Amino acid sequence: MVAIDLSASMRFERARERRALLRKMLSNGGLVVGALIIFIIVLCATVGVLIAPDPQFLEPAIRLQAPSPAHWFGTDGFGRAVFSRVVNGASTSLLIGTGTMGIAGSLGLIIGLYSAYYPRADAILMRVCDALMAFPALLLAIAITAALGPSTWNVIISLSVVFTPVVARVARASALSIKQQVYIDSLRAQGARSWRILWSNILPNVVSPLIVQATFIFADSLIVEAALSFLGAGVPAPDPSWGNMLLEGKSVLFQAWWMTVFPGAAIMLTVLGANLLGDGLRDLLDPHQRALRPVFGFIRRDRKDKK
Amino acid sequence: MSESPLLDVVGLTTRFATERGEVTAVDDVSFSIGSGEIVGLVGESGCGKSVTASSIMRLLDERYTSYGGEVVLGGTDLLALPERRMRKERGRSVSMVFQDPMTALNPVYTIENQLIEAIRAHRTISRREASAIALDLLEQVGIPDARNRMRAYPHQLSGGMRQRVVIAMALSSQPRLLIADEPTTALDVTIQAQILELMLALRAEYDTGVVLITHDLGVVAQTCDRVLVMYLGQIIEDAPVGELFRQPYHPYTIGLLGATPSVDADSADELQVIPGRVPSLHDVPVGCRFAARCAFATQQCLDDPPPLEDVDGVHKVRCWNYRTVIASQEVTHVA
Repeated sequence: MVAIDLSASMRFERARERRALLRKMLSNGGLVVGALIIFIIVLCATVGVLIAPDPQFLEPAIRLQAPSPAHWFGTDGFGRAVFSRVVNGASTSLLIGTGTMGIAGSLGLIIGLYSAYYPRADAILMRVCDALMAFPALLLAIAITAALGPSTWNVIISLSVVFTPVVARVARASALSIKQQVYIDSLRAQGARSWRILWSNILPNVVSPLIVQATFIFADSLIVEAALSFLGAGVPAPDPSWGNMLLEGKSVLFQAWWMTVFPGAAIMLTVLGANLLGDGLRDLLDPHQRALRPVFGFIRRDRKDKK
Repeated sequence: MSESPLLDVVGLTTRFATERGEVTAVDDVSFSIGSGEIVGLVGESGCGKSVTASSIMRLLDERYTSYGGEVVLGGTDLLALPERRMRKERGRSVSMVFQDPMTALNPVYTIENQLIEAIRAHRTISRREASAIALDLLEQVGIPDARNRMRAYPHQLSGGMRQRVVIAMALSSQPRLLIADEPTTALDVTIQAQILELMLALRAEYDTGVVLITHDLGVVAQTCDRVLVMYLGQIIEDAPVGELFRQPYHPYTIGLLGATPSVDADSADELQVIPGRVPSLHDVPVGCRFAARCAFATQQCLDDPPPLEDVDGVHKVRCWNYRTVIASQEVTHVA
């Protein structure tokens, strides 16, 4: 029967597309390396934390010891294991990074989409975003944590305030271009409600550029968090964070290089991983063709529409 | 044609606010369509065909657009409705098929999902029931193996199939009026004929009135009952289709017909070209809008805008000198 052939060929084509997608992902070196780095960091932050010794355990007798088989990354001024603190710092950093990514990402998405669709809201919301973006990110983050008091969650809140306008801008820009598409007019011509058009038809089409943006927000928020903690406006002292470890290490930089090098390297590696992942995702999702290449369902086909 | 018309457009005027001042994209357009009638709206790019269509549906951005006149559909003036009520009319009373089926479907959803969404926009039924209706619609528009095709994404279908889906979607709430904005322009010629046939069949079945926008006179000849020719925002000729092809009154229509290639024409015959170009909407001529490109233009044409004159009850033309034009046509026919 013809009918059976058709459905079989459709299934076959989808399987083929999925394989092609996998091949393309694996052939993208940056994406693979970035994903691997992030995977290792996540492993440290989850499994590592359970295995590593207590990062608060004081052993003043062995303070400022150089890296050795007993203490891989050496010990700090209180005799705490730097390795254990770096591993625990990973979970703090990841919490702040993903928290910021999640809050700024969803808030920015909602604000961006809303202002793309409703011109009046746009005028107000975008001016607020402009005002927030006019401040240097770090300065604004310091001001907000200074007002709220230093704690991990306050860092997340302040970073979300800093990054929401960035996401909103990106979401708005891509939503505006989707809004011009014929299928949006077509939906209106069928009498679709505005919220349906916006949230169930425009939204899925702007997700791919936003995923890319989100990874960069993640990387940026790690850096700003480290800077905040280094300045004493971030994660408060006994809790390990890469930023406040740098601060502690600063005063003994020439006696105990390991106290600054290892958390510094951890920051660098994570940010590098996140950026590689973001770049890889951008290549993969190709925002220039996003109308034809949405994330959902991984519909993919290299098609240059000829007109 | 004796019953009261389905759609009555009276003096429709659409103005856009632009940076260079206000332009009138559709100027005093009046026509009516009965149930089951197909009216062709013809003209070259930028003459206001699509704006007329979008004005009937009120799809234009109303911050920059102002409408005049009336669009009476089944007794209600659509232009007077608040947006909330107008949304309910869209799809249910009047629906639209767009030019390019490649971009008229959302790439992230399956055909089934999009049809269900269109059906449920106007009916409170479950997804399962809507899905059954969707399948039915797809079979009606002639999609083979519809049950499996429902689960396909738009990019997995050919252009002709997609246009069928788009038509199914437009008909999903059984509108009384369908506006088809160049539904076949983006398709292969063989597919074009199939889609036109489909539209004729559906028209017969649902008794839907159709406004068919096109620049292809061949399409008009095949499908339409009546033709409106537009030039620079105005209707310049309005006639039954046979009448228009047999005896066009307006020099522009004659030019359009002359510029249409035909297979059986002598290969030595060159295609005629209408000299000059369409003026910008920003500086519309004072008199007849076609005067600058017209071989029959007189001083009167340059000074006074001609009215749309009813010649014999069925044929209307906007030209001061249509009698001369007809006479000259007869001469060339004889020669």
